[in-house]
Amino acid sequence: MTGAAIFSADERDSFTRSVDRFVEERYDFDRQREIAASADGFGHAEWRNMADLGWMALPLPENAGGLGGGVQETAIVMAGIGRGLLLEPYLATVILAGGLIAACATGPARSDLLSAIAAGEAFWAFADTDGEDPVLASSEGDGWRIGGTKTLVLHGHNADHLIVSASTGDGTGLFMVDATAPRVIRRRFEMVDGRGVAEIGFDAAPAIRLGDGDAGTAIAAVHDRAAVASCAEAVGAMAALNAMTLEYARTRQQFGVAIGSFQALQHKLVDMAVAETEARSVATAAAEALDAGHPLASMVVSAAKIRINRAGRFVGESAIQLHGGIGMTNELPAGHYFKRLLAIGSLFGDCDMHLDRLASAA
Amino acid sequence: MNAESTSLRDIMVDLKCAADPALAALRDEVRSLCRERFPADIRSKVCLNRHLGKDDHIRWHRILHEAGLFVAHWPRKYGGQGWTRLQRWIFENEIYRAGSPWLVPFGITYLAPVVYTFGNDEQKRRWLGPTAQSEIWWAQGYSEPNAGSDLASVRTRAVRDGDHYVVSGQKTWTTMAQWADMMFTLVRTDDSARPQHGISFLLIDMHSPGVSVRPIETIDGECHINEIFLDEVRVPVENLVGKEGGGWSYAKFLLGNERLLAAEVGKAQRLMGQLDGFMADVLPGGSRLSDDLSWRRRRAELESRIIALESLSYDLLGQAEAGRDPGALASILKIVGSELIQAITATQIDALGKRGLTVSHGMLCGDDAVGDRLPAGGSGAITEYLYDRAATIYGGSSEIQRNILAKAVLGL
Repeated sequence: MTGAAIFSADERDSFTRSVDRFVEERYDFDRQREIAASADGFGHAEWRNMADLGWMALPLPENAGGLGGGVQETAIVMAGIGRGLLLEPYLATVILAGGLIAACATGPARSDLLSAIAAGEAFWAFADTDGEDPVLASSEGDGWRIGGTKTLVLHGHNADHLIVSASTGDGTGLFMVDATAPRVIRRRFEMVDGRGVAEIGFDAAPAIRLGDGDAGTAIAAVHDRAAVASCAEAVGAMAALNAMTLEYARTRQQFGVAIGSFQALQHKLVDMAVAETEARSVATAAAEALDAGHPLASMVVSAAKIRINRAGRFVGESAIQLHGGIGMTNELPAGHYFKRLLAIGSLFGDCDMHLDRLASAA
Repeated sequence: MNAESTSLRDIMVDLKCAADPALAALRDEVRSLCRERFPADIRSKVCLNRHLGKDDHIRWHRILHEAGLFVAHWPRKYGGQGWTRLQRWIFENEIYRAGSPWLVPFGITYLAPVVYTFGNDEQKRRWLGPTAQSEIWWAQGYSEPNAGSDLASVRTRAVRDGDHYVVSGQKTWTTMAQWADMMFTLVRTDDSARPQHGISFLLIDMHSPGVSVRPIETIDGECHINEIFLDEVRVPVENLVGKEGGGWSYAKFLLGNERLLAAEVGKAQRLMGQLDGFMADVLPGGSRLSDDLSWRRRRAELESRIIALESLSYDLLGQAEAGRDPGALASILKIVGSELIQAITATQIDALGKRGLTVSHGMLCGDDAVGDRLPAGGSGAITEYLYDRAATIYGGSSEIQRNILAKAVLGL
């Protein structure tokens, strides 16, 4: 990825409005529930719309069909994804796989693969977390084969293509695998927020190496961008959840008055708004730090992810509490936002992981 | 990027300055001033939590004034540089990081803007210059025994008698008033109006007959605050700033001006440096807290909170620069900033454990001669911890700030 912010202030505003409009018009809560219950767990029509709106092309490099946007621009899309609890594999396909391909692929394959992503024609997943048997790669003639298991592969259950990290005996390599090949065995699981993840076994599956040399740096970089993207997603989700909790407090009557007139609830609602506001600022700072290429940008990413994980947990739990009994039901959006925030809190680094990284910088 | 900037605590200011060369120049100017002209003895008192005297404050204020920085936030026509709040913020954070004592704001930041915005020419001539030169020590006479968070209920009365007001009443929590030459006050000039409309902004000479000052010892053993008794004090009418009955709106103007600078990031960073020192100490048995996982995480948590607070400050200051006044949203900075300072000092005393229990008794009010009476190893951190309990109380308590946000931002 090129990594610099490309939008002027006006372009930023108009793109934000376009993302907001899409979420509002095409992705209300009923539609979201419908898509969640569908066979693939995401909307193909919605996916095509996103591609038409330029979401996929946005962060991809200009020389491969993309717009060359930075993390700050991707964050606009991700905030929309959080606000509407979108289910499409944007993070997996565009940010993770697109980011790794842009960083590591060479030659004509690079622009072919990225153009397909930009056009919304490819579904990818990044299999990085080792399962019971760590994935090993061995060269065979001109090619490679990989064996072992990966777990918690976001959208791995219905991706067409996988990027798999594997030990080559000489560091970590990245390998492209046809997800539908016979030697790739996938089991689908559902995360708490309803998004699908896969456990994937590779039985000497044929693989194409992506780039050469150790991929550790590229993986770390794409993880940082995914962490910040998740922060933006969480901020969007918190904004929506806070708005609905506030509305509930304004309208729900008990003892003859709106419950939002009670100071204990007001102060809780203020703390939720404070958490959201601070989360938004630090998420933006992390995106700016990455786009600016600051040598310690990763530390701002860690600071942001720690604050967002804490804020998401606090806002989510508080929203359920303030909604009372109705907040416990799956019929209300509040619980679904809470569960997305819970999932984000453990993806791309939980608090302890990021605390340890931040501690290492001091 | 600036090659020498590799510290965690530089990242945010680096990013801001990279996009704004004038800001970068200001930061560099303040840093070199702190390196070259900040008196080592004052720095050492601050960093060891020792008692600071009036002379220490004035000496440092005058160095800053010579460098053109002390009142740079004033408009040019009154001797300032017309700094924006973002520039003031950068300045304050740099000096506090470097160990500067609190820049006593009463004259230069609280009083002066009221004088140059609402005062007459004679008042500007008389008060602004000497305030900039630190020739007048100002105290802020707002709170009263029955008017704390509920400031509009001030009862100190000023009755017109010819060319004077006769002022009687009591002010309290008056910070550093034991050193004050002058006090700006909110006094009641009209009982019949709505409480907010009967209040006037009056400047009182602390050397006038009828003024008495009783220092109040606070839980940290120091005397930062005082009770002021006003017994038929005669105050010349020319000491009324603005209109009679306008005092409440001037006080609110002042609060609105200052709230955006409420987050003490520079101080938080200095305190973190101190915490790092405590954590690096070799404990009996040879271990160090800085090698302990739970302590490293606890410290990193605070670090993440500082970065978040800093980014939030820049966002709100940036909105103000762009002409979009964040208004009451700025209350967030007071809430988050004060809670963070408290969290850091609480972590400091936990890091010190029983080593940190020794305090320096005898730092009596106004007694600058009392020196360093701490045993070896005593840091005074517990004194700072105790003092900072006030951070969520003064300047509008956290509860008041939450009330403001609930009403003005959430519309509840």
